[in-house]
Amino acid sequence: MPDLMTHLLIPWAVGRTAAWDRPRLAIFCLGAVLPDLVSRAPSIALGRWPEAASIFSAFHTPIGVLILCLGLVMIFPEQERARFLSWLLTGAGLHLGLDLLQLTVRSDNYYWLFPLTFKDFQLGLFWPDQTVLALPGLMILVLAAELLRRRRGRP
Amino acid sequence: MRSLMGAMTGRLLSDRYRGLKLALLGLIYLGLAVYYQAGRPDKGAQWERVFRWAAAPGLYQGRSLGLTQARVGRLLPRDQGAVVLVGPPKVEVTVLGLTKGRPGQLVDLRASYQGGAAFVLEEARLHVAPRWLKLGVSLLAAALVLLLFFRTFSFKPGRDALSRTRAKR
Repeated sequence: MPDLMTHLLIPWAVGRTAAWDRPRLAIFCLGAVLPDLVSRAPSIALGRWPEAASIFSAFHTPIGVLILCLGLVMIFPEQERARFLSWLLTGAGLHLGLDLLQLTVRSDNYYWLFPLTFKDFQLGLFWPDQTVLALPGLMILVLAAELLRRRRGRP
Repeated sequence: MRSLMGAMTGRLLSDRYRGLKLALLGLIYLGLAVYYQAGRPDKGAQWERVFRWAAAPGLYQGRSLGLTQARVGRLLPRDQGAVVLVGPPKVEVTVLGLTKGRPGQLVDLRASYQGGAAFVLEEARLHVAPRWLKLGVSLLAAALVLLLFFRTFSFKPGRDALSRTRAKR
């Protein structure tokens, strides 16, 4: 997986360039880090107990993300849920899309078509640890998005 | 068709039977998690796999195993290979043919099993960024996104646990 900062900066730049309001940006960014936050973070924290950690692993599949987002939006007011769900899912989709682009020696953590099949595949454009090196470039992108927004007169 | 989907989504996301719907989502996830655990091809952590393979070497000899974020422990004499440490329990694995990298460096590798805790290298890639840096920026990102979320939405007890009372446009 690319680092979480990469997963945050890309949707942030997209949201700021598109001049989204703060609730939309907050939910989109949350969606973009959600799969790792609920599946990878426990696996790091519970490294010595992989069986316990693997209970959360299914959250890093499209179906797991859908279930999680459906549950999460239920904490919002009823009239907002459909909109918030679409923003959360778009953010999570961006996360999974970014993960799909990477290359790993063992790709057995990316079951895109689960539960239909355990076949895994990746597009192999970059190694997961390389994204840290791209962070300065991404930060410049975010700064550019902020400047663009200010030039349009939206602080 | 679109209006039918809209109506179904509306019903699914309505307050009616909210507790029941949440319980059902939880149950569905639990079922999926059990299926995930039982059905995935490579079960358990990679260090567990090394133990499992070492317990029945005849069964796995010649098979290929991918190890990610293994730490180079020490280099073997005469460029024979290296001993790498896998997982939090730091299981020692001998990888014959691994000549690049220095002790402490992280490496992703694919190697074929030779018995015991020995593998022959097929391919290896040294990490360009240290693990602490990746973990550090990831923790910072998690904190930032949670900060943004809780500065945008605030808790209000009741049926709608969260409401957009502090939303700024």
